Amino acid sequence: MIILTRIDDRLVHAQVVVGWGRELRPGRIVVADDRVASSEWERDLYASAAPPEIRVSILSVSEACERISAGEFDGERTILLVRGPAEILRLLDMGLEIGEVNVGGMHFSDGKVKVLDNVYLDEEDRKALGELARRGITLEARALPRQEKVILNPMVS
Amino acid sequence: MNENDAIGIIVTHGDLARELLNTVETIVGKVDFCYAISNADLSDDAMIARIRKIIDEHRESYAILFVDYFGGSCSMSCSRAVKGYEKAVVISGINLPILLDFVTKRGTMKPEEIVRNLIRRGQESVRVIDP
Repeated sequence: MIILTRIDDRLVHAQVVVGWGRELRPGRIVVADDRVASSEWERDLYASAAPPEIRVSILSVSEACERISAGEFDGERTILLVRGPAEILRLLDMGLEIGEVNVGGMHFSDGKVKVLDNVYLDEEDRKALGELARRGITLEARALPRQEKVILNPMVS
Repeated sequence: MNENDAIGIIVTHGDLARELLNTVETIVGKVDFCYAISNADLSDDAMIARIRKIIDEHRESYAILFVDYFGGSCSMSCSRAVKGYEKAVVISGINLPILLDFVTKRGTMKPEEIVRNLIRRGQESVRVIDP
């Protein structure tokens, strides 16, 4: 079962495997990302980032949707990781049911404006998050599980 | 810098890199060609750009990148930053003994040799101290 759906442009990294890992005790992380899935070198890099008790599946967005929908990860506590809101939109369009999304890390690069400590957005990000909000997704922003949730919906709608 | 010299780039979470370098400098004095980068707030691509800029400014030298946590965002960005560079290597699990050895011994042996030495030094410095 998917116990957390998280937007994090760093994908697999310490906050996820240690910060969320110790709280949620996931057995698996599914990374749904076309860019990483298409390169063996990148797949190996991200797969090596998790500790041995967490298995990592790195899949294209469409393959992740198919395999989650088929129930392949139902028996495991699974974190679903994507790079940005566009990937969540694609998963929704393919029919995956998602109710709440953790906006964990959208970091600074040129042209992005700080909204929260862990969230920097440009116009495109705002549009995509706004579309998720319109579709009824709760966007809860926080980097780590014990931080207070900040609901982004009113800020991007 | 001579042909055996290496630049150092410390890439960590928070202020650890800056403070490691500050601490080294309080012990041995001013250190040249050693840089500190924090991952705070930066996207991977922005971090990679900063790392590559430093490496490219010293293209004639070997670059040794030090990161704090294997599998963290710093190690991921460093791995991707040095991809395709022949004269760059990433060492994870940075500690003060490693850095002190780096700044005091670089230039005295070939870069590949100093990397082996640094790793051994780091590993040996993690120990239970006998009473």
